[in-house]
Amino acid sequence: MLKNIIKQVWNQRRQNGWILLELIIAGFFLWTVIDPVYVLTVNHFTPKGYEEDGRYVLRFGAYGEKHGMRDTTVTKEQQKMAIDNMLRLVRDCPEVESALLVQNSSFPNGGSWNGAAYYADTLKSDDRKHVSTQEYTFNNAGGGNIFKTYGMKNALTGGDIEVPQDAGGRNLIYVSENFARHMFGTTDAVGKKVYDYRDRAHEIAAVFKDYKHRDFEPIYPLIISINNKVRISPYMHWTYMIAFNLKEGVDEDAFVERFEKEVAPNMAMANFFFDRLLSFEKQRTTWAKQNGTYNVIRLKLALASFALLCIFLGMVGTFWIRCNARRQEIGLMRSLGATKKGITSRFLTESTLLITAAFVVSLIILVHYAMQDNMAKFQCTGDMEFMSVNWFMEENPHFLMVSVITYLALLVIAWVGTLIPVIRATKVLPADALRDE
Amino acid sequence: MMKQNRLFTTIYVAGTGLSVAFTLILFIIYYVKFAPIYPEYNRNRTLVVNSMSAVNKENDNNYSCNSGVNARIFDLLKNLPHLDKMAAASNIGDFLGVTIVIPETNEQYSPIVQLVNQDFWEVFTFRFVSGHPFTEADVASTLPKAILSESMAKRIFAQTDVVGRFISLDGKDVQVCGVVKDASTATSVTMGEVYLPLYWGGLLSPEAHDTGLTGNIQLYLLSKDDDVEALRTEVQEVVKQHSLQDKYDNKMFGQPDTWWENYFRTSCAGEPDIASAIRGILYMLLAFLFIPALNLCGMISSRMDERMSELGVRKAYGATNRSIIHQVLTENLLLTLVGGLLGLALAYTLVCMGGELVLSIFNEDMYFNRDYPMAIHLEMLINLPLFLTVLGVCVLLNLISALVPTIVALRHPIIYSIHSKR
Repeated sequence: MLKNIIKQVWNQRRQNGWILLELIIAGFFLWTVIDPVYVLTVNHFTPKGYEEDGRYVLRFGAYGEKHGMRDTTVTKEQQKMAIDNMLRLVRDCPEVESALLVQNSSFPNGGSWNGAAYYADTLKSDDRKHVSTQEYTFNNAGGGNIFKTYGMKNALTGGDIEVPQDAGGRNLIYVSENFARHMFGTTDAVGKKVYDYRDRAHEIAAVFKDYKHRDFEPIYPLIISINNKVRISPYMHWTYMIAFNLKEGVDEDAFVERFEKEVAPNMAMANFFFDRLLSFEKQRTTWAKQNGTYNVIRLKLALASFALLCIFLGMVGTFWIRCNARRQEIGLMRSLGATKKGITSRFLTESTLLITAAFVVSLIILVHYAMQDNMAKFQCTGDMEFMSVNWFMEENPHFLMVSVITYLALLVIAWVGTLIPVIRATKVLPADALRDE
Repeated sequence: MMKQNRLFTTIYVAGTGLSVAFTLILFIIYYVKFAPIYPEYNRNRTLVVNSMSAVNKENDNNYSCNSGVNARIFDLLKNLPHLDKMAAASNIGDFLGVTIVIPETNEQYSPIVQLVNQDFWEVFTFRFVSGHPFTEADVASTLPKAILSESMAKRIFAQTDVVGRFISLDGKDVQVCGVVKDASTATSVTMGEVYLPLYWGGLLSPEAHDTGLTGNIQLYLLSKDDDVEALRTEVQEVVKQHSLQDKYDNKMFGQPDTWWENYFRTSCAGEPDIASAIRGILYMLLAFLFIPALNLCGMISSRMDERMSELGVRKAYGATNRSIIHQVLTENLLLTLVGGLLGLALAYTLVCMGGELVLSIFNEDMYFNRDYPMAIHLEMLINLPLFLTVLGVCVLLNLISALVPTIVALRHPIIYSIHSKR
């Protein structure tokens, strides 16, 4: 039967020409709009390395030098104490499991970005081994443990990571799997030393599971250090934030409502005031909105819908005309015992052949397009070179996956476009159809 | 004719509608960004400087790159022969975290703040509901004044006739000197809820800086006699001359920009890649036109097959190819125009329902865009260039989709055409 259908498609090549050309161009276009969405989707579904539920960041504000409400008698010591007091107020909430002070947006999807290079030794040579990494800093005074608060796990044991009280004084440092692998070629790096740009040695206390700072970016190295010194400055409300997590089973909406009503007003002290609570989830979506990622997704999906709608209309039109032209043929086949299903599958095979033939041509152009370095790229902030690359990100699987997705999308929409006129045509009684013969 | 072949009509109209709708949405998005709309009616006469980089001539590592200039540049530019007005504004106001007390609820609200100079009100033609713009003395004065948007005034005072009354900004009493009709967040350069004099809050200063000409002020230069090119040359020359004597090498990377060029400038450290941005837009535009056009070509081609004998008879009685092409194009133009109207309605619906989601879909940086509803003004949707675009797209689609199949069909000899339908 297939041979028969191929012959039929070939015989109708003049009528098929336009739809074929449309499918080739629309297939190419669809591929180019699906490609960046594929990259963002792979990044999005890469495991985050932390928990999101019940995790919050509290930002506070400060009355500036010229603010009418500023109390000019407040001293630096009072401001330091005020930060301790705000942290205590959060820790004292019965719903809160743990809380700590973090610096410079050291939380997932934070706006600012802090990075550094760490070295494997202190040799002053140009080719000394180093890893450029993002750096989080937290304060472990009073039992602050970023790993517990964020739900990050030990890469080797899968368990919790404890932070000794004197970790800051001992220059202990915590590194991600990715960092350890790039620096030492293994994740078994506990006890090893890395050096900062001032040749200060830091001992690795634990290796934590790979951690994704930004939702739609790949994973890159992260190092977490401790700094218990609170520096007073006019910008400290932009430098320090309180991160915390809630106990399991706490109703988050009720907590936020209670917190803003009962606890937040008590944070007005030493020229500071409560600004806002941001859940990790809200922070993630806000960041993706601000840096235009959602816009890119929306735009590409709109363009993909456009291409698919055009293909749908093209297929409906083509097969409607074809069904009308082959009304007699359908009637004859029905009167000779062909089932509706049989006729439908014949037309579906015909449209599959059309789509496949067109997509093969599109693919030839697309291979050339991809070889010109035009594929969407897996990139991260500052084009960091030490990314974690999984199978889906490698060039060949990337091309293959986008091609398969495009082909399937084309096929499904073409089938729907074919089925509508074909089902209608097969409903006609054989006698009616044959009357025209 | 439309009733005669309903399927053909439906698919043809839907295909045209889709093409017109997507092209129009693209048009509206860029129209709002580039064309003169309230209160930025002078966009065509305005040049923009909103980034500057400066390298210390003695030390390359001393380098700064900012989204604006500092007040030192005012003296350099103020006497340029082709400069009419020099508006200065700063979006740094958003970082001030200014709070305003809403009397009715006693709520502390953070309004969208614009820090502006006196010429801002000349370059941008706001409609004053009451009061007047800042004067030069207001901007220089330490006694702060404020201009409110109409909706902000209503929110605070429940009325707009509030000139002379005081608002509580950051715990200080500030006198209102004017109320203006709201600008939409679609015109983000001028949109604000509270407009304050440029140096309010002390973040910006009229004094000299040790960072070359870099700063956080954005300049909008209105040209005299619409001669933007002459003004552009003058500004570039004066900054170049200044850099020769300055400690810093001040680089503007091709600025000042015309309004539309400036939209593509995303970095202060290099020239914008306008060509690649335009290629991206053209790629979409071609897809919007050609993919549906091929569809329509296929439809018309099939229809030509059905009408082959009709064409044969007409040709046999002496009709020229030209008159037949004319007939087909006219018939199709009618259908295309119906599709155009459908596309127009679809585009309006999507823009009105989608609002910000649609109008900001090409924005890659929404840092200053807060959760504030984007107002769609009538002039963004109803204007002559938009209707001409609809008409242009319709004619173009009609030409692309009907001409080729008709010419192909007319190539057949009369006998073949008449014989095609026994």
